[in-house]
Amino acid sequence: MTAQLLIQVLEGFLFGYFALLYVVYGLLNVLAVVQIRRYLEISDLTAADNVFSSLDVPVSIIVPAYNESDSIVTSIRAMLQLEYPDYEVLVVNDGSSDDTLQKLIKEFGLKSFPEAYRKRLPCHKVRNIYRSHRYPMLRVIDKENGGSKADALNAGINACRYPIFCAVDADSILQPDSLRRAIRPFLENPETVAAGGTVRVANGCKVEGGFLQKIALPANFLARVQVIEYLRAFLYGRMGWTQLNAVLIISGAFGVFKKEVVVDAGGYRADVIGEDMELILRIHKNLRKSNTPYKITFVPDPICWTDAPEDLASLRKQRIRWQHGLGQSLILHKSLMFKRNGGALSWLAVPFFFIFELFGPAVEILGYIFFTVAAWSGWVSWETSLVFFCLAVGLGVLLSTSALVLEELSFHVYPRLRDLVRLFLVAILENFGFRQLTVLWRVRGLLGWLAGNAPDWGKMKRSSSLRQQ
Amino acid sequence: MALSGAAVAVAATILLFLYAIGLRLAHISHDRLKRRIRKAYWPIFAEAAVSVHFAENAHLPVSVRRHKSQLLREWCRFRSNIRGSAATNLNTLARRLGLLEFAKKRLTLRALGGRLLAIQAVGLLRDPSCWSTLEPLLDHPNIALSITAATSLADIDPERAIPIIIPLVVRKKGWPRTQVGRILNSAGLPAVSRRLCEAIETSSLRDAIQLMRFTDAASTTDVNRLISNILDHRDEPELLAAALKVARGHLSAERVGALANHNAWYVRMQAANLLAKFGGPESIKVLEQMLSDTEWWVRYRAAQAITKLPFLGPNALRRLCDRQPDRFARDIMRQALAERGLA
Repeated sequence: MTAQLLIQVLEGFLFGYFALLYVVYGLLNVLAVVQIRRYLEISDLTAADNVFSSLDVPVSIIVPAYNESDSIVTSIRAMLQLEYPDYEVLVVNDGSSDDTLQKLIKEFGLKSFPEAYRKRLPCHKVRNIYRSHRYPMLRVIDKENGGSKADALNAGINACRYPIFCAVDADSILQPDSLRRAIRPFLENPETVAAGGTVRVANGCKVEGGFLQKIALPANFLARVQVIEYLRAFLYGRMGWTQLNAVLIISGAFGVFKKEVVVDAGGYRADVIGEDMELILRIHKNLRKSNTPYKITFVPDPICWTDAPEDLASLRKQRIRWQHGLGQSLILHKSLMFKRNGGALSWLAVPFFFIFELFGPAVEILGYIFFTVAAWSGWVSWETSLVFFCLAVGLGVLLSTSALVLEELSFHVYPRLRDLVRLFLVAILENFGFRQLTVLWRVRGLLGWLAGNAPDWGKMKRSSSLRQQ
Repeated sequence: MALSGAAVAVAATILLFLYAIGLRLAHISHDRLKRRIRKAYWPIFAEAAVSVHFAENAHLPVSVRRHKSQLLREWCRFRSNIRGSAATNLNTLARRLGLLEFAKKRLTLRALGGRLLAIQAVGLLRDPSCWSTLEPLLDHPNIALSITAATSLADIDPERAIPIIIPLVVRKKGWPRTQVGRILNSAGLPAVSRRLCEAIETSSLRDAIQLMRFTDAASTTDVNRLISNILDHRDEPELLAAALKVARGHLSAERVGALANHNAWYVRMQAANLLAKFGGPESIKVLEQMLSDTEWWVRYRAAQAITKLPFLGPNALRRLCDRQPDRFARDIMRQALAERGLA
């Protein structure tokens, strides 16, 4: 009797969990559609907004670089050609053991520069600061390796001169108007303290001189699946939360921040893996504590392109690391949850991330195991188990397809109709095997975090798109 | 039950996919139409812009009604970059194409995209008969509608619109600042300058700082008078800093020098910035003092200001750096000199 009750409770819990997941994702989807439509209406209206007005604010671009010898010169060349009236580029060489610094010195004519460096945020020792004679807007900070991107970013923030900074990965591929688009929320609403940009998968695209020349789908299946994943994560994940001012993640690949807000929050934490998410949570916490009105927002335009892993080993490490970072950040800021006057952030976003993003993979795996064993042992009917599997897989397919619809409603980045059909097929196929595999990795990341093990970073193999540039 | 669940999931997926395909096909067809209309009409717009005769008399192709919306969009795109007599010619041409009547009918559309386009069009066409339809939209909760209506009203009659718009700039928190800047700049000095400066003087601290960002749209005389009044009669550091930021250089070194000792570091920093632009030989002493300021930004801006003074040569700058008794002052001067390639 007790065992039967337990089975019924578990069955009810798993069905209830997935039903709730459907409802929450459905609502997020609706919010994202509203937000994107609103964004496009206004952006269409100000499409001619190319004239550099006096309202533009100067921006510091901070590029942390660790052993980026292969791509650093091309990336920095591209960053020096952005369409923006007033900005500086600060490369932070985080004690690279390859010839990243030497390449920068040679290519950009860097000379040692007697900067009165002001250490406002903690970071490892700065060895030297260089300035380019050919490009006055370029400086390079050479520092001792701090063992984390956060340490390099803090060094960059200490040295940056402008009130807004943009943190960009050294291997991110930008578009000439990326900065202009990302800065718009700051110009339009003075309460904006941080803005993230939509990151897309660069694999398969043609990249020349650090800029994206032609957009195409990757040939590699894993990279193609990640195209769908990024669409899901950015277009309706983050757009949906933007509507509620409850964005919890701004990707480390491209994020724009008001410097003083980050400095007041204490900068990036070097002891956390998901430093990008942790910082956003801390900013939320700080500004709420001081009752400062603020907005953390998201720009849906595709403004940053990144290289996605094309082999299982790199992908596995990445997913384990992400889940580990998610756990660390959420637990550090668990006090954000269920605050009286905490709004959507406190009552929806943080609990959602805890329940569905952090522990979701474990529940999903539990469901797969339970319904297989239960059907096998005759505890539940095969039909019930089948319903569960349909529910789980169907949810994945629906989410991916609705992300494709959002893409079609907004940016139609992949130009050919054939691409859309291919993406649709991938949206279905990824739910048979790939998703379960990533769920397993995420569970491993979760267990690793619970056990306090440090995840392995490893070195990701570059895709052919980036290798060829 | 399993089968019906699966069937629902499959049906929903197929529907979503078909919807996505439909959207893509609509996009492709819209793109083709856009290209066709551009090819047919942009040469006509271009010729009309330079010739009154052409705008008034040229034989025009008959536009299909269902393409008129796209034609209006293309006209707006072309027209919004044109000023002066060319704009008048294009308006004449648009009236002959029936675009004004078409736009007026669409001012009350439910579809937001079409409505915004119509509002923009009647503004560009400067049609005063639409004023009464547009003015109530200023209070519309939809930001896109209210700001587009404001733009159009300012296009139609800037003298009448600006006194209504300026108080709204501080009230409407969601209005994009770039768009507000554009409205004020294109409305012209006579309509904006005095009214904007008066509004700043009579506003609360927060509102005044917000409006101060738009002083580009005001005349130098009015801005100078405003800054003088603020420096004489107001003492809020945020406002003083904002005022110094937009000052256009009539302030005496003595007056700015007094602010170099202000309690708030951002006022001192703005004072240093101002001296960088308009400082004379008498400013050197003040700036040298600022090199030893406790705040890095004040030291940095003072050092930059010194290196920008036109009457100090490289050797004089190096001597000035060396004679600083304070290490922080020397460090920051060295940095500023290096930035100018003078280290």
